[in-house]
Amino acid sequence: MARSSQTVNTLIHGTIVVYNNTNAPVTGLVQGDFTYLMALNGVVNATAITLTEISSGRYDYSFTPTVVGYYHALIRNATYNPRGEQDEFDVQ
Amino acid sequence: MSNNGQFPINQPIFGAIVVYDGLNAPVTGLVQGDFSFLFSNDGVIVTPVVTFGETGNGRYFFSFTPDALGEWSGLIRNATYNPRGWFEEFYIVSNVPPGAHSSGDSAGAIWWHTNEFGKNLAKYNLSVEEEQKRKMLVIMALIED
Repeated sequence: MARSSQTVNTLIHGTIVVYNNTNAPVTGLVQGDFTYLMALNGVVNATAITLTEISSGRYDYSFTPTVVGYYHALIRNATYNPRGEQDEFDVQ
Repeated sequence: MSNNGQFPINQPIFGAIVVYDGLNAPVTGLVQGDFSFLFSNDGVIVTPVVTFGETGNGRYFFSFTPDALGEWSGLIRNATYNPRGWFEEFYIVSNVPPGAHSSGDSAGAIWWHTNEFGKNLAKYNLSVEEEQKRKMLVIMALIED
């Protein structure tokens, strides 16, 4: 989890890595295989997240914050990572 | 790896990993070829030159130099001891010195930078036709300095 300062109305990228239970990278997942939970200043927020595959189990996600504040993104895959991956962004 | 956060562009980033075997004993004697290094920049695969070395007691260091702004992810895997790898994100921002101002003729923009990397105090977007106004703003900024 990396917390970083970002600029409002600018596309923000993040990366997550997905493995199966034998530690092999999981490839071929798509946007619909994940759930996306976003919060802004502690309140549920509907900012859309786009996810694309990079390679070797790595997936890029991106979103554009339109409001200044503290964003928390939680991305879950029910099969491989039900706890999810999270990131924090200070948007200014 | 434990590094994260924001780093200036075109400056080497150093990181360290520690490798243990299944009995929690430090693994020594590994070389760069024993690892795979996977990087991306804003979701696109990149292949920066990686410097790698052993520092003893299972510790290994690496460095790379990001040459573009944005989010960089680094994933270092060792198939035997850590198949999931060490993963970290680095947000690469401008390395303009604190308090500096600059002008861009092509973009027609003037930036004032704060003490934090990548954060801009103010930005003035000017059209090419406003060149004289832009020059005036630069002069004013120089006077203020």
